[in-house]
Amino acid sequence: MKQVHIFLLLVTLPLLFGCSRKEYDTSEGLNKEIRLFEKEFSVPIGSIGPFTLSSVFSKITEIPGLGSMLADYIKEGEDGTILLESTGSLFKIDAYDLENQLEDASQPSLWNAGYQSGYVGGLAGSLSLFGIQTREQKLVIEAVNPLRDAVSVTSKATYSCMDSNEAGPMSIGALESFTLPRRNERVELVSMSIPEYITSALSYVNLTDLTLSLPAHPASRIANKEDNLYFCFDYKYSTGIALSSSFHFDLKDLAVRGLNLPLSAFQLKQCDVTAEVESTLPIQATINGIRVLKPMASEDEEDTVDETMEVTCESTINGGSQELPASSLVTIHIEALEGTIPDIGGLQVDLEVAGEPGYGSVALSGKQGIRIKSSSATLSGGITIFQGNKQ
Amino acid sequence: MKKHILLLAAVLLTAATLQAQSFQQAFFLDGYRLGYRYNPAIQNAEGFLSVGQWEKQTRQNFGAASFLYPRDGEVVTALHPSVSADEFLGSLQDDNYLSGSINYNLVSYGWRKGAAFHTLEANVRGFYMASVPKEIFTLLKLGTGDAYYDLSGFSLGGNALVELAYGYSRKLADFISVGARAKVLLGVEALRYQITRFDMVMSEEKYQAAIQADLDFTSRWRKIGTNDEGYLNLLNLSAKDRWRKPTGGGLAVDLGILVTPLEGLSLSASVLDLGGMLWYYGNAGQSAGLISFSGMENLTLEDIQEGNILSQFNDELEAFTSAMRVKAIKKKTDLSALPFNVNLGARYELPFYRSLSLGVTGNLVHMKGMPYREVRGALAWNPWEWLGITANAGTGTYGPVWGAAANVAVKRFRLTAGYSDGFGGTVPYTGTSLKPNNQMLTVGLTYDL
Repeated sequence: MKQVHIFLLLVTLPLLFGCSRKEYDTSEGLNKEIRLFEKEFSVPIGSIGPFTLSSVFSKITEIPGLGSMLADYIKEGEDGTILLESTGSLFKIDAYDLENQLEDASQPSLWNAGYQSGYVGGLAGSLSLFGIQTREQKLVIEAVNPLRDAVSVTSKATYSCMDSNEAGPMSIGALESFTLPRRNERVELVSMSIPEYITSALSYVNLTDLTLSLPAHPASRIANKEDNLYFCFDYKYSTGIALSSSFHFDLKDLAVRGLNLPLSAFQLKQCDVTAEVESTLPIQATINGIRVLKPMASEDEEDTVDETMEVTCESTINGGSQELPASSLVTIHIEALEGTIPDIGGLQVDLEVAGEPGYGSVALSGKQGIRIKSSSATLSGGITIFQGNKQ
Repeated sequence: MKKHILLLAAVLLTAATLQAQSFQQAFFLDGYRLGYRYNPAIQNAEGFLSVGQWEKQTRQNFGAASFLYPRDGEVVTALHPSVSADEFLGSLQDDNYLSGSINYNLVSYGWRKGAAFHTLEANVRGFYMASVPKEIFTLLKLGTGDAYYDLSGFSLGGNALVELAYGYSRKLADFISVGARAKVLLGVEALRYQITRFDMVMSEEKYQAAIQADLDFTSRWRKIGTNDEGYLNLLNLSAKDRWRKPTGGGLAVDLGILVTPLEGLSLSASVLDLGGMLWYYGNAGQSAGLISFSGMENLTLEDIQEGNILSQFNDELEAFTSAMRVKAIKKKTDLSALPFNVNLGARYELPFYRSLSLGVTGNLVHMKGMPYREVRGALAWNPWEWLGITANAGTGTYGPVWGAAANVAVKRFRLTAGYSDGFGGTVPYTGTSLKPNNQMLTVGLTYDL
């Protein structure tokens, strides 16, 4: 019997080792909270843009009122150059009025219009206040003679610039003496480029001692009374634009809405976003501050900054050109000051932009812009997915 | 993709379950009538009829304790914040696999004729396995800290088949017997999905992966549909109405020898399941190629304003994962070898008390990628013709093992039950081993003719 007892003991002992372990009892449920990627997890976000000046202007021109008005002035040349264009009249007189002003209309005579001028700079001139200068200015002057007879004209024509220190009144030699062809033929009297050293916008075109050699009874010589009765002297002005060294803006509270990132579910502590930004704009942009905006329940709601989040970014985006794009690395560190990172509705950015030294004199092109060539987000501390206990 | 994997697993678990197993304790139970399954040379004293013996085995080189952790009175998973990466990943192997098999004996019949003993059997056998590389868990637990990941080695597989076997054993002399069993295997279904290459480079700028994976689902009565692009749609299984015919066919043999050089000393050697299966009428497919994900491309101002960032990101991510889709290829057959067993045993009946015997067994399972070896010392007590008890302990590929079995006869009925496992405990109510283990359960009833 002793042997039997020994045998039974030998059989029983291993069973003790093989028994179930109470501390692993999952019959009442399992805690399913999980944290993934504890060390870090990097996700490529990808490329964003490019956001070209063309696309920005096209957005601006979609704005009712102001947009359509600007659309009349801002054009894009065939090569992409952004042009400011304006047209207008230097001088205009009805042939009947003119005949009434003659001392003796029965004889061919000279008529002196005196001093006439037109303000051609317009928008380009006002932009100089913001550090935007002109490039490759062009001036075209045209005229129309309504009579059946050619008319000889003499004048002393000049143009002047906004910055009189840069250039005084400049003579337009082609307008000293010329002949207007008959029968309403619009003729281009002058098509000239303003010297490159003049960077301020044209202000006035002046016609001094504008003198017309008229036939007898000029009103009776009108070629087509139902078409045109006027002597017209018109201008067409166009200029490219460039950024001067005085171009400098502090843009506060620029809002990037619609991000709508549902991050609260992942209980993130911190996130680092890195972006390689490529710029062909001659602008140096410094990000002075970024704040996180709470998600908005409706579009009418005002932006609300989430104070529980700290965002640090001290990156500068260097300016470049189409030929030499500039790359900059932008890093944004987002950290929850308390708890975890909540849902993010958007971002609010403080930006300082200034003309990039060295590129200021190059005319801006609609093809120039900025793009995020590549970007990624690195999550530190893991993504926690809380599914509730005992489920 | 997740759905596809879940479906694969579901198909696998329904299609494959059973496989014949060598019941090591059989060598030490005198009254056990199906000992010829362990060694075809073993003969019974008299004929028998057996209906419904059940053998189930699971084997895994990791334990549930790698994935479940007791914390403050509750159980958390390995991905819980309280479980350190070192603790979790340190408990895993480079390739973590599990396999399972069940052999359900529909009927066995044995009869003696002179020096020979004959057996006939019909069984349903099934087998399933899965293998997951450690790097998948490293990625999930730690993240993309390392730039390169080798995720190859992930596989799922399984099969189900019917086995018809005839066994013959003969005493060549008083001290030696030899035996063999010939088996005809009729396939029901088989599934195999294996990622042979999955190199992944994860950087901040880009995820890049090279993938090569093969799928073969052989079935006479179910067909996986394809979409317009020729990719297998695992959610679209249609009936082929050919269920009466087998999906595959195969042959296998068991060979054994039993020697008694001295009175009371028995030496046993056997090789089981030498053979293979030819599966046909397959639904085969492949995933192959280079894929990359670098986030969104040229997101526009409008996309941001309209809140389309996440949807665009998801689209790109879906395009990345879609490269893992399985494209149908033409393949009608799949030849695969059966994992075979080698069993060695020695038993010595104590001369002063012949009912008590000591012994040793050795077992080798040759399975590609999942080899298994073990050695056990055994003690057996067969005091009466109606009772036999045995227990063993030893060491295997996954560490210490133990086992126990008993055979009890009531009149002509004999009930046999056996269990073997590793040490380290189990999850309550589930029986899942907490440590790497080789677990086997055998329950059977025979009737002596």
